[in-house]
Amino acid sequence: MDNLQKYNNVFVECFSLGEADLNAALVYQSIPSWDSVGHMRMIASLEQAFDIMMDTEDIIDFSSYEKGKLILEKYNIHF
Amino acid sequence: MKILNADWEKRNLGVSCTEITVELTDVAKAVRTAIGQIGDDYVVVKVPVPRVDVMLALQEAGYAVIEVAIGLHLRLQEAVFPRLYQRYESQLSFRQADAKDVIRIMSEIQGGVFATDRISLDPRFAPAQAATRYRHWIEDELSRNSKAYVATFKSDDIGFSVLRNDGAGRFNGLFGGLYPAKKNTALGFAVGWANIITAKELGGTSIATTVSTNNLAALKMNLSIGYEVRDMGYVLVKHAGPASRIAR
Repeated sequence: MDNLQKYNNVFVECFSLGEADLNAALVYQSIPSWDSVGHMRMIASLEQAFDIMMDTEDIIDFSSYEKGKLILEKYNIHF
Repeated sequence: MKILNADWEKRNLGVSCTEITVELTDVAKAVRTAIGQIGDDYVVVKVPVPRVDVMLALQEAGYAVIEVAIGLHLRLQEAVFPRLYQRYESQLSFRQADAKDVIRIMSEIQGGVFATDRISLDPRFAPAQAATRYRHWIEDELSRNSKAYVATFKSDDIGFSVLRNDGAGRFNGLFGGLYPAKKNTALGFAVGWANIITAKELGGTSIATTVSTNNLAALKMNLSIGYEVRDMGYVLVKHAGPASRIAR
């Protein structure tokens, strides 16, 4: 499984989405399941999937599906 | 059944208002009689779950369910900082609001801290009325036995909470909200936790709060910081006069 698939799987499972929902429109609070608790659980899942520990500032900045990929680049996760 | 002349809503919303709290043992006929005698602009009836018979009787009389109020409760000896948020703990701090903080809190409320209460969501009221109502409500509470607190993340104020001391070790987390500019930070748990940790430090034994079903995010957040559901009540409202939309 490549990094993009791993990344997408987290979103699909955490937010009960389909792959077609994973696009630039997917931002924090754009869907009911991506609220503050959903956000924290999604972050925990990403950290587990990629074996990383994110800074709190990056967690706060992680505002969208697309932005998340840019943030993970800082942790050497390349897409 | 408790019938209250909610005269504060004349100041808050510009309407005459009666609030009725139905109890589990009240019969539907008595409730129907009571509402038939009220001629206010705006009537609010709170019905404990599972009195669906009363809820349906009210709906037949033109009342509409606007929310279910969920009562939450936490025994403070069981309150521990949630593992989900543990990495933030050392970067969060809380302080009692001073006069300058209260001014900011009121300004932030007018700017849109709250958007899922039954006034904000009711098309017969304007969002500004809801904000004004919250400001007056909080002012009233602060003049009694409540205090406001500010939550700070890395020395940046992010939101506030208001905690009421109900005596005998019991506290009520009345309000809490992130400032609008901080709503995308996912730090809402911090304002909920502000009330819990303060009540604990003040020697409290329990804390309660209420969440609307119109605010699923707040319900999930409060459950994530340790609250448990204690009770629920339907909240029904009726406006006098023909339906008319207030320009928003």
